[in-house]
Parts: sequence; structure tokens; C-alpha cells
Amino acid sequence: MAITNPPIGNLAAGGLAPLAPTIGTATAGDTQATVAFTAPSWVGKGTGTVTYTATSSPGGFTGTATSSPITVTGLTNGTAYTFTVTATTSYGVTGASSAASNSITPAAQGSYESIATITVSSDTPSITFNSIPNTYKHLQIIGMAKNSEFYTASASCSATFNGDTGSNYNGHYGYTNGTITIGGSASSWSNMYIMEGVPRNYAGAAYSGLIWDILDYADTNKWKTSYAQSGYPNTYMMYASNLWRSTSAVSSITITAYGGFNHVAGSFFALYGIKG
Amino acid sequence: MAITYSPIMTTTLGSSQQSITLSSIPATYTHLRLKCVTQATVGGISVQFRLNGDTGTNYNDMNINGNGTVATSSVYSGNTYCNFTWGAAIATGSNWGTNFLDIINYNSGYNKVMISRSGSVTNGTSFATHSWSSGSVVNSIYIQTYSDAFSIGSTFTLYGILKA
Repeated sequence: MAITNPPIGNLAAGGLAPLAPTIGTATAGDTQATVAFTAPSWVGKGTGTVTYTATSSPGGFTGTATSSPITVTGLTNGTAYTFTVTATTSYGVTGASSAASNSITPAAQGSYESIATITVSSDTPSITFNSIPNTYKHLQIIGMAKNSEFYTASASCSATFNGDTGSNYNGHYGYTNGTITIGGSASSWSNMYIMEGVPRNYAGAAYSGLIWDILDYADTNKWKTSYAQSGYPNTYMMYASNLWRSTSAVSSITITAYGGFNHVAGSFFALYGIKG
Repeated sequence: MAITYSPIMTTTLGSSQQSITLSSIPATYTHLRLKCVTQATVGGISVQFRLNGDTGTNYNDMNINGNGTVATSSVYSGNTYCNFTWGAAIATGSNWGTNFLDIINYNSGYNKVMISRSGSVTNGTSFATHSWSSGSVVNSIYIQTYSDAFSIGSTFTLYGILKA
């Protein structure tokens, strides 16, 4: 009698069960969750596609995928869930469950959404957010920066909208190093002063922080108003209000390092849209 | 789509107490945002905070303060805590102090840089930048009044913010 599909490991036609996957991080969504995992080193008999299933606790809601991550839908917003993941071979043999994931609580999407993040991996003089959607009410940028220049106490960052480098910006600012406080204003700048206290490149693991709010950025009936707070306590801190004298919707934002120098690696700027 | 801005935990005091700790903060976000609405049993005083239970001289502040008469600035290096200046209003009527703290890139290996706004209408307003000289992921925030205690009803809410 010819032997077909010889068993591997034991007499079960499907062979040994796959090992348990290694659970990763579960992330909440709106009535759903995304579950990350790492495939086991042994995925069972055969060369067919292995399917991974995430199962919720409570409720037993499932989602399947052939690679990480898995999306599980049908969850109830406001209810906490954990998830386990199993692997099933093309022969239909299911292995042991992973450990349980972290607990997540799905919720409806709010009014604050991430649009894009730019992380500097090597020295660069400027970064630009392009193709900003006009579907929000306001924008917010959270960032941190270090400057490649070595000699001054601290550096700054400036910004322009939509590539406009004309004398179309007004600004009013105050900054301090904790001892002296300086204020100033201008009505025809070629950029906006948004960040101060940016540490020099050799200042260890120090970066200046930035919270920059750009209000009604897509309103074509208004000039664009923004407010920035920034600083690092060992250098300077600053607050500034700026005006771009244009009714165009802001579709791009460029942030430039001081004095022809660069944002160094580790600097990043995260752009968020705020609904209203 | 993951939720970008999520509440992590909130605490409202049912009795007056001098401090609270927000602990077991997950490392799954990019930034943290703390919003506090507080009164103190004496009031008009600073609110202080520490990260990860670190009581070492690893905190630095720089601030600009205004009390309606004068504006001052100051810098503190090597403190054992950071300050929200005038963050707790005196417990009279419906006046409350507000404290907003952004901890930027809290789960990175860099020193932690923070931006805060705080104040109360009875005392003054402050804007500050802070740093914690540690590359550790922030997993707890200890918040205390400079003296006396937070009043009943003081609220502390922590949010996590993802980046794309």
C-alpha cells in the first residue's frame, strides 16, 4: 500500500501542532483592536499558508490574518479586552495559544488625529509637512529638536507656510533664560519664530520641546494665527504668537534650523489635526 | 485606526490628601498630557511633580510668572522635583487652579523635556519648561502640593498621544 502524506512526528495526518506565537502589543480602535504578534519558530507540517487567529477575552471575538498584525472587529467601545493568538496550519492543525496581550479599551475616534510625523535620522537643515488635508479645524505640532551648531548658548527654529518666504509674517514673542527676559515683535518677517532653547549638538541627550497651535488653518476668510511654546530649562524658553498674512489654507509647513545649520538626528515633529 | 488621543487614567479626590501617584503608565504612546484641576486647603501655592519615583536632584525648571502686577522669570537646576507655579487655587468658592503638562517623547531614551502652563485667577499664571535628566521611560507621575493638601474634588487626568 502506497503511503501518501506520511505523518511527521506522530501518527496524526496533519502532523505536529504549531508552537504558540509570541504575543505583541494590542492597540485600541473604534469597536476594534489591532493585535501584533511574532510567528513561532515551528509552524507545523507542510509548506502551505499558516493562518493566525486572535481571540478576545471576554467575548471570544476573532480576527484572522496570515501575518502580524491581526484586526479584531465587533468589539464594544468602553469594554476592556485582552487577546491571545494561535497558529493554524494549512492542514487545519491549531497550536497552543500565546500569552494574553495587554488590556485595551476600544473607543470612538476622537477629535484629535495624527496626520504625519517626521523624525530626523541624519542632519538636515529643514523638514516639511506636505499635502496637509484641509479637513480639520486646527493643527497642532508637538516636537523636539537639537541644532548642529556648536558655539552659541542655544539655537532657534523658524517656520513658513506653503513655501512662502516673502515678508508676509508678523510676530510677537517673549523669551527668557531664567535671568533675563526679552520681548520683541515684527510686522514684516520672512518667516515665523516658533522655537527657542534648542540645545547645541554636544549638549548630551537634551532636546528643546515645542507645542505649536495653528488655528483655523484652512479658513480661507482669515489670515492664519498661531501660538508656540518651546524651550529647554538649561537654555531658553519662549512663547510666540505669529500671523501669516494670507487667506490661503495651510497646505505645507516647513520648519528650519537656526543659522544655516541642521536639525540633528533624534529631532522630530509630529503633526496633528483637531476637529471642531 | 488606532486612537491618537486616549485617556489613560483619571483620579478625583474623595478626601483631601497631600499627594497622589499616577502609576503603571503604559509605554505604548509617544507623548503624555496631564491635566489637573486643583484646590489646596490653604491655596495659592505650587504643585510639584516627580517622575518614576526619582527623588534625586535630576529635575530642572525655567518659568515665566505673572501675578497681575509684575512678571518674573526664574530657573532652577538640580531640584528634587519640578514645579507648577501657583497651580493650586485657594479653596474658596468655585476657584480652581489649572495645570497642563506635556511630557514629550516620554518613552524615548532621551532626557525628558516638558512644557507646562499653570495658574489660578486668585494668584497668578505661569508658563514653564522642565526637564528630567533620565533616559528611562516614564511609568509614574507623583504629584504633591508644596504644603498642606489637595482639596476634595481635585482632579488629575492623564492622556496618551500617539504619533503617526
